[in-house]
Amino acid sequence: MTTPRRAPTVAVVGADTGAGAALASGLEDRGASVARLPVSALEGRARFGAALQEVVPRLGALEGLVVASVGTEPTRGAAVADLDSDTWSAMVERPLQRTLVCFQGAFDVLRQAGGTMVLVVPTLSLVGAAGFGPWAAVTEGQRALARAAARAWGSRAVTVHCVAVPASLLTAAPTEDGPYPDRPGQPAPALHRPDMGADVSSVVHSLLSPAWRSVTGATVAVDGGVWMTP
Amino acid sequence: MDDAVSDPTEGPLGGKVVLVTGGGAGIGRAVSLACAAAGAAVVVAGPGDNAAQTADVVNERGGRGVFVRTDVTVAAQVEVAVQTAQDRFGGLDGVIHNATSRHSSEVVAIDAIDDGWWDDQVAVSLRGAYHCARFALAHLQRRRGRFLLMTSPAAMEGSVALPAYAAVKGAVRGLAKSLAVEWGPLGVGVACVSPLAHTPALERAYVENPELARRLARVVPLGRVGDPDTDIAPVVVFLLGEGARYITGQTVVVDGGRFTAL
Repeated sequence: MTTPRRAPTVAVVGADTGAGAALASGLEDRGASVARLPVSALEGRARFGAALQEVVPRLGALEGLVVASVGTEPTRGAAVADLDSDTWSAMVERPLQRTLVCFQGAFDVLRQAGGTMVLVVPTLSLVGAAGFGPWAAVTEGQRALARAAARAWGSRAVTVHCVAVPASLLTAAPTEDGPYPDRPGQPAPALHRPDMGADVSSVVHSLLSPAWRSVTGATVAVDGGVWMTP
Repeated sequence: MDDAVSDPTEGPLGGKVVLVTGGGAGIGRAVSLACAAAGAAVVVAGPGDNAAQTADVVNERGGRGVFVRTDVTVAAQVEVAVQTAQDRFGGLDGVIHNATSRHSSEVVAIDAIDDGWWDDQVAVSLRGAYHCARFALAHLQRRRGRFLLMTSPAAMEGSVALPAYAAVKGAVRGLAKSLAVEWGPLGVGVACVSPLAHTPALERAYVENPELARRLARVVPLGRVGDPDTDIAPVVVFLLGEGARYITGQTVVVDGGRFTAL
């Protein structure tokens, strides 16, 4: 098995979003070589594959792929029964399609020498949240695909994880009228509310290290101990 | 199984109206017949003639059933199916979205999934769930109804052989949990059922993977794969009834104890 280096070379997908940019910076602060890819790179397998290949001459072979965002559409609050078909497609089906592109691209670049894929997802999908059915659907689809990939790719030393964070870290602050992306009345954090640049990136950086080589298919909640899901 | 209905107003679902998608075979057929036997009027929705045959059996047994030819990937057809419940039986108390792609049990690795294959999986399970939610909510809200979505063990533990199926069934679980929170104040309960049962899809999976049947027999603590009529449908009937009115947001695993990781 080729183990990731102490300062791994990773691509952060969705680095053009606030959360992705903060995550990329946090990984760089910890010594990682980071290629920042926009969500638009996910419009098709060929395009994403080309974007990943462009990284290699600049930074070297990728050892990790971190998915911070597959688009901001799902993060907007919306009641499912009020959505028209086009909006449903934009909020759910296209982001899921981009997720598939992420997995296929990850497999193409990691299968030779091994590596790690990490998806950053909102905890709201673990517990449900009113007004965020579309986002929860995308996220639980991602987590199921992550487990499928983890099982399929383990023999190639490719590991796959999800890191679940408060939804508010992945979207803009709620408007006065809009739904809040976390459950009202949710438990108080046992620790503190994490931030992307310090707390989340620290865990993601760790997941890219050899310390986790015997773990795959896991969802690690980095939410300060709000949801202690079974 | 004796499913004869002596009085359509009797039974745990007496006076209720339910809509079952994918009602032509397997679990959908079993659920349709069990709901009718429990007293519900049943809208059997499906794309093929076998769903019409299910409705015929409901009526032959003394129940109340109607067939609506329905491709759940087409919004207008789901809307008609829902409206049929209102027009023929006066309302809608429960939706069971059971339909899934005919290709759901075919083995395709992640890197081999193409756009058409992916869309087929998404369209039936997930887009179909959205269509059901969109058109049924107003009806369910009026009668404090239930919205049940069929998921799969693959959604919770992943599947090497069926990654696209796992993804869409996982997405369905995410949708269900959030709908439960969203619709709870409206009086509508939402749950997922994760069954392990002999179905046409599983039979096709046996063909793809002959070892599967032996493996399942080894890993199910109760020692057998479930029967749609006697193991799965009764649980669905319970979830639609008054005894389950405080259950929402859950995935009810009906698999003989195979999955115990929750």
